[in-house]
Parts: sequence; structure tokens; C-alpha cells
Amino acid sequence: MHSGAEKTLIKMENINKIYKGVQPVHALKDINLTIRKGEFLTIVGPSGSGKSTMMHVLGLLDTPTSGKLHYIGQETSKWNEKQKAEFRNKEIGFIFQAHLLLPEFTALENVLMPYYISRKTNSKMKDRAKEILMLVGLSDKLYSKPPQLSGGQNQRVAIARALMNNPSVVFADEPTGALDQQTSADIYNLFRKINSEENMTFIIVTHERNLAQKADRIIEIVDGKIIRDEIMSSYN
Amino acid sequence: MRFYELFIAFKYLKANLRQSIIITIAITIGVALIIWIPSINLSFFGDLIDKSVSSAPNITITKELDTFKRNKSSFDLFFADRTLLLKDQVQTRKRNIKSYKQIMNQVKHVEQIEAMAPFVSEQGFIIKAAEERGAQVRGIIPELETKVVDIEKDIIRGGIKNLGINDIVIGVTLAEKLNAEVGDRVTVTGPRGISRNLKVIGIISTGLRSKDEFQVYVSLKSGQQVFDLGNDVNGIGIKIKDIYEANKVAAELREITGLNVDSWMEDNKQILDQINRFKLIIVFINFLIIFSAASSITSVFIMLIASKAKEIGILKSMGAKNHSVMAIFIIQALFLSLLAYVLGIICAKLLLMWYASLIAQAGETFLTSEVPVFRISPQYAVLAFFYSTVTSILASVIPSYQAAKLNPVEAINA
Repeated sequence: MHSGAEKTLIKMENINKIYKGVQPVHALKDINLTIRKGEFLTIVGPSGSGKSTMMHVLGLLDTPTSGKLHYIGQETSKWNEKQKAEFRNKEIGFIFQAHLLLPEFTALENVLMPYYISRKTNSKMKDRAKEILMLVGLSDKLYSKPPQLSGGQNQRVAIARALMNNPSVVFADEPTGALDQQTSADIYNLFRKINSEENMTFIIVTHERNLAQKADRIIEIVDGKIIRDEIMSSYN
Repeated sequence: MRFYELFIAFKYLKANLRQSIIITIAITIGVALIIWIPSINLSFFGDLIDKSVSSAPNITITKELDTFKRNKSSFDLFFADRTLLLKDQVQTRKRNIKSYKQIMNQVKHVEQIEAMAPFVSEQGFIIKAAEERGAQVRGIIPELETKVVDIEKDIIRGGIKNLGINDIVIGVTLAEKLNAEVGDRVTVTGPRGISRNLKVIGIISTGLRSKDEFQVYVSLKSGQQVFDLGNDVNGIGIKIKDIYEANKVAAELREITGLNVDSWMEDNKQILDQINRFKLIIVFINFLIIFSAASSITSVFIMLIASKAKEIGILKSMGAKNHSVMAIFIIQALFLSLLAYVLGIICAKLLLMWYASLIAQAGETFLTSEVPVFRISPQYAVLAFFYSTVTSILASVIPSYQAAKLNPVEAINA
């Protein structure tokens, strides 16, 4: 299905994540995983299985306790906070369950934020932000602030923001968890469209079976371990 | 966008208007108090110093009687229970300088000296009709004395340049008490009963109560006659280029002449000491003001940052670096402190105007007969600037640093 899905984008080697405390929690146990560019992948599992932790480690928001994480052939464990921040800004887009927009800023400004953070100056970027907002169906809400928008609209702004810097990979943590069925379906279709048009990698953490089944590859985690890594029949 | 931190900081300032106003008010009050309190006192003391310095020589050379110098302690003991008048008479005797021209020649090469004038200065009585008042009678050579002390600026009626052997210039309060005006005649009497009838040719008003009520000027010759000094003088008044070098120059002159040399700084030691004591108290008051303002800024910022934890997490997930997160909050503190500084200066000025109007209603103070001009003290305005900026930056650094160090995952889940 995806001609560009041959290059390795992410490689996890024996990744462990242990949360220290009175009762240490072993959230990820010896995870080995390779994700290719352009994949549309879902991570499923029950609550507390470690799927969000995996997304945070993959998204360089959290550091593994042991093991190696490679991004486009580069080992990331030696990267400092600054390098990780730069990489997140350039190569990674996040979509969280609660949309997590900045309430003081308009939809357009929220979408432009990753571009602002990159400190680049390109007069065309505002047009790009508008185009993305149009793509997610919010061309009439450019100057509305998050409190003036519905849950579904805010989630679409968050999606537009994740796409702004044209990242290599988009992580979505329960992106449709708080939305009704129709809106969820619309958002899934949008992800699919961008995935096929831009060859952008999508890694979606979800507990919704319906959504998971529509992915090209399903990874199931239980108790911090990958118990299933299945490439769906439609995926070549 | 090159400086997105500015963009976010100003959005936050606008969105959190209430916190912004609280911080601005806290700093404004601090700035206004830091400037206002010292400005009142420094204006008051500064005015007193200005008036004292401008109405007397910077340095005065007098002569102490050798025996008095040698036996000062026994003199003190001897006069301890005697009348003040008797003591004054002995002190009068000690001041005569016979060879003042020679001394003036001896010191004229001293670089700091701008002008010199010999004088006699004794206590006497001024009499007009039934009115009799005690006064400090200063015998001068007007063309020399006016170069040492700018008496002419204090002349409110008549003049002093043409002060002749039969003329006198008197202080304005004394003139009122004697009911004397320019053109009237008054009698000056010295302690030895020698009198001269002189014509009032000028009235002075220095703003200093001690001068305006007790000072009179006669010609050197008249003074020498009334006080029975022959050709002697009591001292030499000196004006120097840098008045704050007075103590140093006085020491040099003491070395050269071996005479008693006093500087305006020594004469006004009490006022200068009072200023220094006051500055010490101000340091303490300022510390309290700064401490209370800083605490309020820190607590407001801690609350603000706690309420923004999630958003900080989002910004960091999008690639905002730690120093940028810190900058977002420090920029807010800096902007508010600059705004508060301007407002604080305006408040300090208004408070000074209000205080001046209170004093103006009284019309005088206990040491001066005029209301001083109250100005904002530049040194405290500069201090307040550093206070407002440094305090607010320091007060915001710790919470901002904590914000920058927030783990994005924890912040997002907060």
C-alpha cells in the first residue's frame, strides 16, 4: 500500500522503563521494535499496560531506564535536552487525548506555535497554517480561541498543530477518546489521508478496537511487554 | 518568529491581567517609597547644606591663642561654671590675626583656592529707636567677600557692593524686628561699648533662620573700630573649587599656616552626620520594602506557573527549550518591573508634591525660613531602578527555573 514504507525510522533495542519509588514500576520490559517511515501503526492494550509510556519514550518526552532508541540511524541516549527539544520540534508531532491547546492563543496561533518555536522566518508559513486548518475543516475558525471551540474542533486544531512543521512522525495518544463516533471516524480518515499523501508516519495509541483494526500494523502491549505485532492483510 | 518568548510572554500578561496588576502595584509601591522617603530628607538636608555652604566661606582660617590651645582643658574647667559672656570674651581674644595679608600671600598658591577675603566677626548689638537686638556682626571688604560668599544673590533690597565705612546690610528677619528699611539708620555696639551709627543700604534673605535673624554686614574698617581690633582681623574666608575637597584643603592650609582652619564640612558635621545616619536607616527600610515586594512577586509567579504547568508541558513537547520557558516568565517580570518603575517615579513625584504643599502651608521649617525645593533624589531613582528590575528578575528566576525543569510528561498529565 505504501511505497515509501521501506526505510527504518525508529528502532527500539531492549528498552526498559522503570519508575522509581517506594514500589518501583517496570512499565516497559525489553521492548524491541522497528518502525519504518510511512507506517500507520496503532498501539493497543489495557489501561496501565505501558502504551502511553512507550509513546512518551518514542517521542523523546521521557528517557528509557536502559536500552537504545535510534531515530533515522542515530542513537538518542546521548542527546541532551536541547538536542531532544530541537528534534521534537523538527521531526515529531504530538496529539494528546485532551487536546492541550494554549487557551490564550487563537487556533491559527496555536497551529503556528511549533513553527514559532523553530525560530524560522518564512512569510509563507502563515499560509501553510491556514491550509492545514482548512484541511482539518476549520477555515472559518482561524481566529477563534480554544474555549470558543467544541471538543472535536479543538482536537482538529491539535492535529493541525502536530502537522505544522511537517514532521517525520505523528504520535497520537487516544486522539478520539473524548469524541463521538462520527467525529472519531472523520479524524481517523484525516490521519489516513495525510499518511497517504505526505507519507507521514502515524503512531496511534488507542484502546478502541475499531480504530486499531483500521491500521496497517497493530502492536499490543500487556504488562509492559509486546505480546502481538501484527501487520494487517491490507498492508504490504 | 525569532523571539517567540516575547510573543507568548505578552499574551500571558494580557490573559492574566489580575496577576499582572498585583505585581505592578507591589513594585510601584516599592519604587515610590524607595524614592519618596529619601528624596524628602535629602532635599531638606541638601537645601540646608546648600544654604549653609552658599552663605559662608568654604574654609575659614582663624587663630587660636597659644595659651588657650595649650591649656584648653584647664580653660574648659575654669569656665565650666562661669557665664557664657565671659567665655565668649576669652574666645574673642583668641581670634585676632595681625598679619592677614602675609598669610594670604603664604597660601595663595594652593591650587584649590579660588578667592580669599579677610573679615572680622563678633557678637554685638543693633539698636534702632527702642528696639535692641543681638547680632553677629561681620566686617568685610565687599569686593573680596562677594567673591568668597555669593551674598549678592541673597540681597532682596538695596545692595552690598558699595558697602562703605558708614553703611550696614542686615538680615531680613532682623530688619523686620527692628522695623528697619533701606535708608534707615541703626547703631551697632560692640562688647567694649564702642558704637557706630550706620545707614542700612541692603537687606538679605538667605532662607537660613540663623543668618536672616542674626547676621549683619559692615565694612572691615567699621568692624575693626566697633570691636576695637586696630588693623587686626578675626579670620580669612576662602572659597575653593571643589567644595567636597574642603577637609583636604583645610588640612593643607593648617600645615602651611599653623593656624586654626575649619571647613564647611566640619562646621556642618552635625547635618552631614545626620544625613549619613539617615542613609543607614534607609538601607534598612529599603531592605524591608524589597523583601516584601519580592515575596509577593515570587508567590504570584509560583501560582501563575503552577496554573500554567500543562501549557509549559505542551510547549516543551513542541520543542521549546528550558531557557525559552524561563525567558517567557522572566520577560513578564521584567516588563512589569519597568512599567512599575515608571509608575513608581510618577507616584514618588506626586507624593513629593503633596508633601511640599503640606510644608508650604506651614511656610517654614525649624531650621530654614523658606520651604525647600523637594526633588527626586537621582541616586535613589537609580537605586529604585535596580531594585525594581533586579528584584523582580530574582523573584521570578526560581519559579521560572522550576517551570523550565518541569518534566513534559508530568506537566501534561498534571
